[in-house]
Amino acid sequence: MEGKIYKIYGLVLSLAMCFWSCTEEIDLNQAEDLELSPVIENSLLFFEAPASEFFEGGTEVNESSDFIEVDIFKNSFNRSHLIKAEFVFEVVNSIDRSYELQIDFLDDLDQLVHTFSFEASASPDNSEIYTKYTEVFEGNTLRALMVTGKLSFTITMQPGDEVNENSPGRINMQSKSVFYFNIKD
Amino acid sequence: MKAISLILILTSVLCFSQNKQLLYGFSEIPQSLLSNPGGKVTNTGYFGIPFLSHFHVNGGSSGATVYDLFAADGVDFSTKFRRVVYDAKPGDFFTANQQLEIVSGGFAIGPSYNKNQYLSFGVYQEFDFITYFPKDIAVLALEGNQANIGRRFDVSSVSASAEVIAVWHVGYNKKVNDKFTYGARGKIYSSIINATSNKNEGYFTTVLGGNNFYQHIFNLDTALRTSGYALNGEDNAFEPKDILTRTLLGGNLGLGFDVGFTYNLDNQWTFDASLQDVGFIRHSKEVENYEVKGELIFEGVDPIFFDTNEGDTADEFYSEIEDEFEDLFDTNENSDAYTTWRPIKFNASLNYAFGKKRLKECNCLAGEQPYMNRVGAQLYAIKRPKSPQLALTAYYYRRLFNGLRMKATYTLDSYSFNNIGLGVSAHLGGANFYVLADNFLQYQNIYDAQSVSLQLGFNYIFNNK
Repeated sequence: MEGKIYKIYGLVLSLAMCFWSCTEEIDLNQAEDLELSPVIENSLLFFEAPASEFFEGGTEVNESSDFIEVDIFKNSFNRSHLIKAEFVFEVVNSIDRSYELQIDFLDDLDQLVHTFSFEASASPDNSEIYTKYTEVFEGNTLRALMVTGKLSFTITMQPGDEVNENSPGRINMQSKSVFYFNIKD
Repeated sequence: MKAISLILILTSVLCFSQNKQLLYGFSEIPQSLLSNPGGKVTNTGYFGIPFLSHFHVNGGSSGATVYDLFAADGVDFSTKFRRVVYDAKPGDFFTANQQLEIVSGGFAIGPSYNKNQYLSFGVYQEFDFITYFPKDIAVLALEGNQANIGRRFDVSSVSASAEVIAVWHVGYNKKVNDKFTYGARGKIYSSIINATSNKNEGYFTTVLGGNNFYQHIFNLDTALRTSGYALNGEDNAFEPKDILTRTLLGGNLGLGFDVGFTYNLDNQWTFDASLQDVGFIRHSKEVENYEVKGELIFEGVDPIFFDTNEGDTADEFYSEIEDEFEDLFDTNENSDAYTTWRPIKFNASLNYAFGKKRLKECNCLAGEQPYMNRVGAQLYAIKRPKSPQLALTAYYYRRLFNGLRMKATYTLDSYSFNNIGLGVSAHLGGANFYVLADNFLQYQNIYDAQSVSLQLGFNYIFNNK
């Protein structure tokens, strides 16, 4: 009887020891190697205007500009993890005039750190003309983006046939930013 | 076949944790009365060796294991992390539970010719943690919204709670007759620390917009409630000495009870069941709650070049949006009292005892002796924030000789279908030592185990003879 018990004891013990000793190697420090690369897209600026908006008080309004103060580009999270950014614009124009859209990037001291512009073609027959423009921020331009505190945008109607309150067509702009992050320890 | 797939579905949808399948019904171990106050009592009294009478630890994951993530296998950690996130099912959870009995004891009461009642009492400390895997948030962090236009990132996937409590309890057990035994246990909970965030609602989504590329929709109703920690309060911030005062009923208090019974269908068949921790804790001291609540739809900034009449500038327009964002993500703090419910546990088992010892003297069965073997099936369920979790256990129990009892279990749960447990209770005179552990098959690589649990303790038991 007692021999049987010892046998069982021995069996349980040796099984347990075997199980415990076979545990495979792990390395918890690997967690430091974690890299996340999310891509975030955000709606940016948009507007829509009929041709008549460029005619006011009997004369053409050729240029219009406005600005916004932003602090989302210069936050510390971006500074540590943003590796690339893009501003994507899509313009649909059915006005028989071409337009230049310009975006200026200003830092907190109102110093110009970056600028770009692109042109949306005129539509002589008032059909919808698509223009797509992408500005890529990498390296120096990315650093400029990350000190930007103010965005100024200007739309300039290029020379052409005169518009008035009855001119057909409209211009529509949509835009988004694409932020590429690389988040690691 | 149908039945098997039903069981598979049931056990994968309804998961389990904190199961004490080895201890339940193991009546030679006095602490089995903690999982069924109406269990069989086999001693006339006992006391637990302070701080050593019952130690229980259990950890589990219904999804990834430690080994899946941290194996030293040369695979890039980010790759493994991605795999774990994508493989995770909604509702996957991680749990940890630990109990330490500080003191415990029990004694039979009643007239000396029939001591059919039993009082047991004690104090134990318990740590309980559960978090569901917030898959949506993890995917958003991994990928961002670019590849997920139109997808709702559900905030309700964030659900977690953690608490440390002390439990003071007194139980009463009565053997009404040979067939029926019942019992109940009253409990006072003293919460040392609690953090709960399991009523989160809302979502974030990016959908194709009308005026601009996208509409970003934020709809958030989330809360984190804490007591006992006082993250911000400098005067009443948590200190180690608080553990002692709060263990001594100085924490946030609550009440609860256990009930249970055992019914002998005949000499060999027994049915028993119990409910544990039907109770609540009211948190009113050192409470700090955080809420993020609101709704916002953002589709960009309209420079309004042309609306000079309104006098709005784009910057004013944008400042308003910035304010709205701030309002949305602004954390509201309050110290409103709140109530947490203890995770109710349900146990039931059907047992069949057989095989009496053959006596040498007469080569006949020992009529008065107890049966040497028992087999049975146990069902366990625990109420958890999202859904109850279930486990089904088949077991074999064996009296090896006067001083040794063994129980082997096979448990089906969502962690695994190959959970084999083994428990031994040794009785040498009055001294009792028991050790119970499950998931033996996975000890060959413990880091790859979906769950492990271990219970052990020392008691001194007074027996009838």
